[in-house]
Amino acid sequence: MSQDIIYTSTSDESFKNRSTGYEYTVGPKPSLPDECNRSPLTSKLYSESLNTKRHEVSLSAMTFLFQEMISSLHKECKTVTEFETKLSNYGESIGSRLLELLNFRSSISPGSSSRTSTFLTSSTSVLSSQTSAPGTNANYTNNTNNNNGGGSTGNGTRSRSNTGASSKDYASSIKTSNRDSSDRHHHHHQVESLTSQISKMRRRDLKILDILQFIHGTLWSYLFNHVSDDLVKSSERNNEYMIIDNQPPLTQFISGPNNRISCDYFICGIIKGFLTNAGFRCKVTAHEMPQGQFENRTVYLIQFDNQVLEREAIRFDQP
Amino acid sequence: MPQYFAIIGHKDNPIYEAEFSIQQGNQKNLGFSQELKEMNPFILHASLDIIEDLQWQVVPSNSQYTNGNNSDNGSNFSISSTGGFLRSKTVNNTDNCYLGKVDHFYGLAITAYISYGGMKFVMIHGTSNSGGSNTSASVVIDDSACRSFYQEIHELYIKTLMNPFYRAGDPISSPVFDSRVRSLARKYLNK
Repeated sequence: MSQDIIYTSTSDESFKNRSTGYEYTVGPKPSLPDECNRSPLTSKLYSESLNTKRHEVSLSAMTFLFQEMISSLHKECKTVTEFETKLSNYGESIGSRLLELLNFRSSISPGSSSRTSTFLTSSTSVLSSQTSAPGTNANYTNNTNNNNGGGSTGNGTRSRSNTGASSKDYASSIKTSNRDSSDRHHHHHQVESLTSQISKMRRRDLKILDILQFIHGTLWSYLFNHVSDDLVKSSERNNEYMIIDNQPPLTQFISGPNNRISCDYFICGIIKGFLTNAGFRCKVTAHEMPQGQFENRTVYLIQFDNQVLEREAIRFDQP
Repeated sequence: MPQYFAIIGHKDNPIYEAEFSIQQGNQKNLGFSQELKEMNPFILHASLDIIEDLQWQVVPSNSQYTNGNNSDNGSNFSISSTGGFLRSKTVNNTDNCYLGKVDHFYGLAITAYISYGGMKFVMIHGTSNSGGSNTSASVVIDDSACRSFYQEIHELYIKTLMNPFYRAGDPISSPVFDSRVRSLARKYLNK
């Protein structure tokens, strides 16, 4: 990015419309008169719906991918800290994306969902009923029913690479709606944009506790199909909070407590990316704390920066 | 009336910019004047401080002046008085993504929206003959249309983010994104 030449002025005609998209070296492209007549460009990425689709990634496939990530990192990293940092960075980019996606999905009013089952059958029912597309609430109840809190036992983690999984679903929805071209068009139109279903956007979380609750509930349900086992505030230090998972599903096949904890830094990264992008700067570390029958019980320790606490004190702690 | 829209990232870097202007038949382009075109990024960046302040307010609107029984009233009163009086009054105060009108600059109005990940969507609304400096009438903003526009853009932005090859904070150069944004602008802003 920094190597590119920044052209001085937007008025330079020779660079106008050099590319069809936004060119940051040129500046904003003004609307052109012929644009109204041009047929809209199509793209799978943008014509898909962001709505909740119920598909799971099998645990074995995810573990295989995770294993590859870890072994490639093992080759290139010299110290444990370096390994943990890099693995955490992988997670961060996921966390920052989930922050936007999950909050947006929570904004969809529950009234707009008329169905409980959201897989495969969904596209046909969208065609018949005008109300379109599943809401998040239906899906969460589904999740909690399937998995009553005690950690998923081979049920598989949910899709992390969203695009890969969703393109599959897109294909299936097209297949079912191909029967009638007018129906298909209708379907296409309805699914594309969710804004019409949103009466009120979910509020951005401004307080530490609010956003931690969201991680504890919504984020964990999305990733692991159950809420996290506990959310604790440290009694010793003001800026420390803990999210506890009795049986981390992703690292359950990794032997040796120290190795396993290092690999849990992937989840730490997801939490960190989520919080940092929402404006809560923090450090997240994983610790092992076996308790009773749960030998793999993992504590994700979140240490917020001082600036976060200061802001909270200024904004919210007034009498 | 023309608009200048931009998405601003965490480091105050532009992620995306666009100008919308109406075309009425064979009339001349009713867009921003050339000087204003070059001023727009500066005007927009000047409002970022106000947006960052409003970002952390419980009720980011000036309705708290009239609404005395708000529990957080005491803490926000002094803070919001910097940007509060500029804001449009019809903003639904339970929504803290859409901030409504946050600033103005010689008759231009500036509206803003903050995404969950802290991306700032900002727009300058110009008057139809903003080239002349003698226009004192400020722009009237249709809040509901504006909010819908921002929400649609937010959705498009999330879709961009779902692309694993897109790194958060990079400029969005996709022509599809560009054309979608423009058609949304036609739909909501230039009726």
